[in-house]
Amino acid sequence: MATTMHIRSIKDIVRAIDNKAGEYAGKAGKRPGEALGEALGGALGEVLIDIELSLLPKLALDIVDELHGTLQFIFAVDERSHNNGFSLHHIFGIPSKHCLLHLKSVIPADAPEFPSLALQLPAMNWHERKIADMLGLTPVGHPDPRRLVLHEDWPQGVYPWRDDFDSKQKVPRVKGTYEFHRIEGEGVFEIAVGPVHAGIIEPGHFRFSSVGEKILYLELRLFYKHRGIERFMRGRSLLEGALVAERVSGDETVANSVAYSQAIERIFKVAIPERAQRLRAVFLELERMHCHLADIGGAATDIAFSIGAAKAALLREKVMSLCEMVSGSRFLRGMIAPGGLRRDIDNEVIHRISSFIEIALCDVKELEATTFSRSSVIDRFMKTGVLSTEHALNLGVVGPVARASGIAVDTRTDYPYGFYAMHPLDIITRFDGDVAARVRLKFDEVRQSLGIIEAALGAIKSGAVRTGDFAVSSRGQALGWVEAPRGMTLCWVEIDDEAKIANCRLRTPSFNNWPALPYALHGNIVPDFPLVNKSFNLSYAGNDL
Amino acid sequence: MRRISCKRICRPKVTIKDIDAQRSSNSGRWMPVPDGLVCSGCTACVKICPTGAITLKNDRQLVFKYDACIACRACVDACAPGALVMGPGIDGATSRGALTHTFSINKLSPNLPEKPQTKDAVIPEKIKIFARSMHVREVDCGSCNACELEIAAISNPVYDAERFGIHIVASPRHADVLFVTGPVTRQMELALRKTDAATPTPKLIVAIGACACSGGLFGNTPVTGTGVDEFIGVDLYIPGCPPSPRAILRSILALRSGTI
Repeated sequence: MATTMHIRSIKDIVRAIDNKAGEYAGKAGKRPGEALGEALGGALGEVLIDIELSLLPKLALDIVDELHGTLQFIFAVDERSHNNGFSLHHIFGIPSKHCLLHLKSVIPADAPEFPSLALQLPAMNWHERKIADMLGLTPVGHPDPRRLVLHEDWPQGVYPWRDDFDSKQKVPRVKGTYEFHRIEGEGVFEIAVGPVHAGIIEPGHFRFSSVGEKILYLELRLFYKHRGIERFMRGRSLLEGALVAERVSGDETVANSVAYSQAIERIFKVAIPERAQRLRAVFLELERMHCHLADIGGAATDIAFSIGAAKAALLREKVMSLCEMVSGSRFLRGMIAPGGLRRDIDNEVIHRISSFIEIALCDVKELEATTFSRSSVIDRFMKTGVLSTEHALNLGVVGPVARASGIAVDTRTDYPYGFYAMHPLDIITRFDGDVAARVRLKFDEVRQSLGIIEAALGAIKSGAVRTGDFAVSSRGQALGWVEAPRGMTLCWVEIDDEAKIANCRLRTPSFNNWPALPYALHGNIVPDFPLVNKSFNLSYAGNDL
Repeated sequence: MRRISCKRICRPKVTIKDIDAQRSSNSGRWMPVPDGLVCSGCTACVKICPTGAITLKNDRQLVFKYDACIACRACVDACAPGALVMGPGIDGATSRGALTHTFSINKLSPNLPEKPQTKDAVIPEKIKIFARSMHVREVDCGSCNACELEIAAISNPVYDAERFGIHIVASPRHADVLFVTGPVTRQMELALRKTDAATPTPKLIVAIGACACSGGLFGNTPVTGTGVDEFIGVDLYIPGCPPSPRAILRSILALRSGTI
């Protein structure tokens, strides 16, 4: 599948992308995005290119400068058993070409290191540190070589992603301390928060350095919830993989399982039935709605605006009950599997979803009017937690956080898949980058989701919801992508000869967005931290994996 | 300016039973149960269960460990004779053993035991002192955050746990009860032990969700434990993936009234 032509410069990469885009554009004769989406059931757009490791720094910078690509994901895989080295994968999103560019290079086993690009491209910072922790590959020249995922009590030289790691063992604890960055000066003091927080939220440690009320610096220390999911996926069957993906992050149940399933469908080159595509879109949008509504309610709670919080909770509860009625699970679990859906839903249920749209539109309108008609709300939301467009671009921020800072990125439009390839969307953006912009954007997106559900159900026909005989085994690897409520989710899967998962790498949007949070908080007051954090709506579970 | 009627926000005089009655069709505790048809003994369910919650005993009994069930429906889909269905599931229990149910494969009828409703239930002193008021602190030890969302939902206007005296507090120092979720990851173990130590006795520990009850899907790896009771004592196990707000509330009310 990889392009065999020899890549020397950015021009070769552009040519490779254009060749591939031409192939699909030729098939349908529409604009490239639609054509890409239609071929193979809307699961194309990944362009895999093998490159030399030494060319990587130059090519990566050129892709960002000349093609306006953004770095989305870096991961590495232990291939010493059959390839005499580790493979290193860089995935760039290039929205102008509707293409996810996948650069693959090989790190020799006897020199386990690769050139770090974190100084030039800050978005690579956490990705490179994660690879160092999990595989023992050193990013040479990384400005911050501390541990990231594995805390200091994990012994040196034990790397969970290597093939020779025994996943049955109990790893002993060793002594070690994490060195926080110290901000020194007159009147600077530190506030340590977490990992157990005051609200019902997930664990993570925040170290504020502040002068009076103002935050000078915030250091994040996360990964308390690290469950080793990517290693856990190894050797699982295709169905088990979907069950694990559903349980990566509760409010991204559908998004993660669809991303995983699309990767599998691309490996086996199957197109899922149209009914399944439409219903997947309905589930994805229902999930986006309840996630955004939880967020809107949470922002209201954090400024002690109880009536807004209560109304948002009521509306969210309606969506959750609807999900329960549809699938038996309030989080729509047990519906998505490679090849489509695990079971169909009745026309009666579809009718009830349709009739819910009108009720929800009224409720959303009322909730927005309630929220934004109060001066106390405006006072707390406006100009709070501003993330500048420049920071958002440099840090590779995705999803509603990026869109509220004026960056028009949306996986559904940039790299269309499934139903979104048949139903082009407008990307909603706002430009202030503050809490108000993010909350308003979420209101807009809830309305947009209702529109998508209406469109998806409007012309739905009866028929099969599952296809594909996955028993035919073939080695393969592919990428799946989805616009989750928080932004782009990427899932890369490799299948072995027995149709089991050989390797899986997952990147949820939270992993890209967490490092941007401190930049939005700079100069804000400590009491606004919960509000800004909530408006970012980051998943700890999806980040820590 | 528009006035918002309190009646639209709150629904007075609604009890947990009313909520159950309103939504009896989808009670949100869906777990696989036998529906009375004949089991062929093919053990397809045993083989497919991703958490090993179903086992075959003596070739004639199916044992369901509901503390490990993640309600994924894989067994229901795999059952060729259709002897398994998604049923109402079960509420919490004070021991993991009480969440294990054995069915004879010759007569696979749903005989989940009904709890006797005695007037003079013997309530342990430790639980009795919390009968009217419970201050709760939640500790996440590696859940997927679905359990957190459902625990947060018990205090929303629909379920309104405050009317039962269940109050979420911000510090373990203020808490009578700890809600613990997740299989307990290696990196949260110390925080869990410290939070437990910071909670004044007498206290109750409630394990919420399949991960917390038994390790669930992600338990027993180099970076995760096998549930909360590997580390601290647990007084109530609430199974489910995740348990719905109704299931959480009902289990706690049952514990307080001595019916489990």
